[in-house]
Amino acid sequence: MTIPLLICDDSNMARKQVARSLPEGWDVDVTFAKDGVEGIEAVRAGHGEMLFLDLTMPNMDGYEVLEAIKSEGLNSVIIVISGDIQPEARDRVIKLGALEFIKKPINKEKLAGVLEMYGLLG
Amino acid sequence: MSELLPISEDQRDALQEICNVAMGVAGESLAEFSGVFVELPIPKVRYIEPQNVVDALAQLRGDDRVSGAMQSYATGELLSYSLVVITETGIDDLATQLSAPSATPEQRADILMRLNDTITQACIPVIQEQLDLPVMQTGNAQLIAQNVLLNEFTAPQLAQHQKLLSVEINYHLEGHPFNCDLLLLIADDAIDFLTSSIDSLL
Repeated sequence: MTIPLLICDDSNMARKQVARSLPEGWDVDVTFAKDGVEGIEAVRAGHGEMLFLDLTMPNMDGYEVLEAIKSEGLNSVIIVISGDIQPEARDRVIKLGALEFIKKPINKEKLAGVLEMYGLLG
Repeated sequence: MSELLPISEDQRDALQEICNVAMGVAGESLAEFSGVFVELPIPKVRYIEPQNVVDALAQLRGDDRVSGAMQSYATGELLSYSLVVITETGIDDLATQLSAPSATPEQRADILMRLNDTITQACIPVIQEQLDLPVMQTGNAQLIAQNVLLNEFTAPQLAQHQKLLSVEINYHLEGHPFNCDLLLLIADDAIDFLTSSIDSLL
């Protein structure tokens, strides 16, 4: 089954880097969001069963998106992809419901490693 | 006033994202150094004249008293700089965190220079690596201002350049008065070199 995948990052380059890092042949339907507001709307609309989420964003940051998803009980498997590599940042997002944290810059190997570890490649 | 950028929107976005990654690495160093969680902002790219460097320090307030340290990075003829500017309140806060004496100007300068090293030594190599830049000659960090009003802050070392591309990265410590700006400054004659490195990533 095709997975609705949402890539939420305020940087166009970062969104492209994530898209280029997706495993070959992975059956996903990709949607892009350029801040947390667009991101949460897309999750509500069902485009983010899987969500690759940046933290530092304008309007609504990644922490706020995580809180909203949690409080609204939305169904989303969330992997945070961020430059904020403080161990405390990782702890906070895991507590807010993210499955895993990947340090920027993203690449194919890092992403494939996490997707395989959690059996997300189908 | 900040002026229209001399780079394309894609290049600005890429520069901001590259600095975002570098900012995160420096943020972790600062968190280790200070023992406090560091709040990270969105880096802000501007194009300024050297006499208006204060315009690029937008996250500090004009009536703040500040101190600043500067360092230069050279690749051939091309120059860039880092400028770390912290409020005096920020130095007091950091001194308390570090249990460091901060009564004399020398002790306060020492705290600033340690802060400068913590941030720049983490951040600059990450930018260099992402842009695949050649080895840069790093100048010695210099104390360029101590306990001056932000509105009167100048960096005469920059006067040799007509314009500079600046990236402002503001660091806050969560729940603390600490407020510090890192500026990355790229001399106008180095911008083409920078953008060609950026374009190879796009």
